[in-house]
Amino acid sequence: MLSDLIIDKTEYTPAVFFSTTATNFSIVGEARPENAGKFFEPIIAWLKHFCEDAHNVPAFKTDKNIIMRFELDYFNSSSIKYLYDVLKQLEFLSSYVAKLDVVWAYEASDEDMYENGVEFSKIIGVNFIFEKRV
Amino acid sequence: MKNSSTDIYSLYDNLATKNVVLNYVGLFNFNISNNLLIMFKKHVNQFNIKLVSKKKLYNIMVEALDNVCKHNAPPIIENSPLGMFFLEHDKSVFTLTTGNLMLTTNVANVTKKLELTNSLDIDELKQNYKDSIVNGTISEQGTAGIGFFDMCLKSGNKLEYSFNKVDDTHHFFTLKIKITTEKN
Repeated sequence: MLSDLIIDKTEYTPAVFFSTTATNFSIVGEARPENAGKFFEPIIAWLKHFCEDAHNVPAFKTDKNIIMRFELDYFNSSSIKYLYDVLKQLEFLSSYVAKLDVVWAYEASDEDMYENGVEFSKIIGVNFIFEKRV
Repeated sequence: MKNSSTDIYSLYDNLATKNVVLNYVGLFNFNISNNLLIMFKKHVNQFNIKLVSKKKLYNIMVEALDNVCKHNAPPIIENSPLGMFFLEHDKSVFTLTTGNLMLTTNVANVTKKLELTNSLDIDELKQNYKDSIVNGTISEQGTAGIGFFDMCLKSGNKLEYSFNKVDDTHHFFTLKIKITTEKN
């Protein structure tokens, strides 16, 4: 049975919260791990597994409203590829739940982070909500 | 007569004429790189530059340090992957320089990537960056191969580089990036 995926924040990796029972998922902090694959692959695997579970629970289609929050201060070029893979998994998941929104929270003056979110929103088929952090 | 103490003095003399922000020469690994980034975060506020500029500097620094850590060639002497990192500024322009050994067999491939990066305008860089995220693969070193695109996009300047032959199997790779910052 799938258990929750909770990872504490470090100086170079974000806090991660994915739960089988909660509906608010999040990745918060800075993403510049020494080995991006080692950090992100368990997250992608968790989402794949959760997708399979969601597929087998018809009630998810009517009841489950998921909000996936990205609140990233920074991510390096190795991490961005994996963030794309996380978002693709969320896109798959969105067809098995009632609603899935991505909240892309960025510091008010961080134009690059905002632009990254906009670019992702153009290629990932889920609803993006942009939240300016002051 | 020239000896090691005069060598150190000439290095000091050379650096004293520059506005050094952060310099490092020595063993290079992820922990060293992480400590340099933490030091940068502590010191950057003294320059009174906009948050957006601080972030760009930080971003480019992460990519440049990552390059040294992941692409440093197997060392010639014992187990010491030496690398160099210099960050200096002249008013609002910061210059970041890294240096590391590289296997000669990799020089052509890296040169090709740098030439491609410098040949693209901003829109083409953005498109290539995006295409690499969607269609690219992760290298053996765990990189997405878009670090040069990213540094060029963030700095808004072409990347300066050189390769110096060290021995039959190694070159020394120097990468220099200029970043113009905005004052608060």
